[in-house]
Amino acid sequence: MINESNYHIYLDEFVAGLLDEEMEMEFVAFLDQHPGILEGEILEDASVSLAQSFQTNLKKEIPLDAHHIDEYLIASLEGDLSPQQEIDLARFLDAHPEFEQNKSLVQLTKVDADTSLVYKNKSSLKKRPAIYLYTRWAASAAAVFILGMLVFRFLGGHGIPDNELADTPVPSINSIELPSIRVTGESIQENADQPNLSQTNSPGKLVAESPVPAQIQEVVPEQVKNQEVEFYALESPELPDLNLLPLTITASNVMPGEQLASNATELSVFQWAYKKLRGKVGVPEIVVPEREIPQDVANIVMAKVAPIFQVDPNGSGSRIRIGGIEINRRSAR
Amino acid sequence: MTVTEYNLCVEELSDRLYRFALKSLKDDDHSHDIVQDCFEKLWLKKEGIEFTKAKSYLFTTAYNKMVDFWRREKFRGEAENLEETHSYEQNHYSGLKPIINKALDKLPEVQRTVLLLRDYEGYDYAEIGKICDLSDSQVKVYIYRARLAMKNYLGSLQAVLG
Repeated sequence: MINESNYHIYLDEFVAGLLDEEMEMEFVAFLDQHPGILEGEILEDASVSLAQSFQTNLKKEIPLDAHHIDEYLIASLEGDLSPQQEIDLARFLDAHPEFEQNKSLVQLTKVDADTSLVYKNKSSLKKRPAIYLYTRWAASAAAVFILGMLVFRFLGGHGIPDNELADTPVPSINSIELPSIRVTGESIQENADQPNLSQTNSPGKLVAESPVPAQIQEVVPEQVKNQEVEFYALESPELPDLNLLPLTITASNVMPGEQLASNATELSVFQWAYKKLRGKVGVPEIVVPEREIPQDVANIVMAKVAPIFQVDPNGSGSRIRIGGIEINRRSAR
Repeated sequence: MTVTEYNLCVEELSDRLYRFALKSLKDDDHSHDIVQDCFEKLWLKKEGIEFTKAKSYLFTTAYNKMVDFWRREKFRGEAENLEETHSYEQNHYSGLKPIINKALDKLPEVQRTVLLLRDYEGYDYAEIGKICDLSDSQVKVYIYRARLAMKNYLGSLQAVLG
């Protein structure tokens, strides 16, 4: 279909006499419908003497002679000759060494890219991953999620006034080794005699009990997405009784369970945590955009859990204390 | 196409796209603009473009933008002046290269474009046809005519220089 975008190609063919009858009629009709379109057009000199039309000649048997040697040499360069034609061409050149120069000249028409020519602003074209999390925000969201674990554990559906929760004493701090994250202090295995968090008959009060060592487990995500910040989530959204099951910490950003899809990212983990928590900590439900939690809600939640958790900005990462466990986390490299 | 794949395209193809545009247009500024525009379009449409099709998409987009450029320049009557006003790389070469580049520059735009796609990128006739909206036969004719014109030009210089 000839149009204003491609007509110049047909014009070139038209001038060279390469259009077949049907296309020529269509081109002439196009010119009739667009009077003046050729104004300023530079009509190419169709002096290139490729034996009238190579397109037509291809359908015929082109004689291998002095008049068509260039066509054969070009066809050879293009890889268009049959094995037999290549043999015939070689024999012809052997018999007519005066055409070796033609062969050399045709081979010079194979142009090589000049690799010294490079696009200078390559870095400006590149894009960063679409998910951006800032450390402070990430730390807040992580705290929200971790809070969910303890709220479920401590409240257990009985309900504890917020002020009692705020009065909860802070256990002593130890450090543990976590895979893939920066860790300070001693391993929890070396501090097995340190108190562990558990629920007592006195709601909201924490006392030392026989220790239940935290089990550290690194889970390889099924689908690791590009992300700026790693997220270390507490596993098991159903929150089993921690007195019976050891606390499991994973380095995965994929949460199993029906609440989260298998391809959930850290953002959806955060939002899930927020939805779980807002009723427990007295935060009214706020309609938030998908994949977001509001910063002010995160701040409220953090204020409520401050006596239990200590979340401090720490350079490129943050430190989170959960009972006797200290987790140092940092932005992904 | 993922962000990583997009960035891989930038890494692998931006130089090649730039060389293609520069050799075709003989205008450094416009060549940079075309590369930038092409990748901007690719980024906007990355969801619908497979990684394996990105190269073809980029070169097709670049070709269409070059056609627009040629049409504008012809309309302004500036096409004849480009050769003199944009000696973008003539000093970078020595030996035969300047002569071959001169022969390439003398080709009509369409012939030069299909030859660059053929020799620089190794595209076959059908792929070049898709990029330039030409039939396979048209591509073949243009390539043959381009090589013959270059060969004749190089031969005439050889005759003059002895």
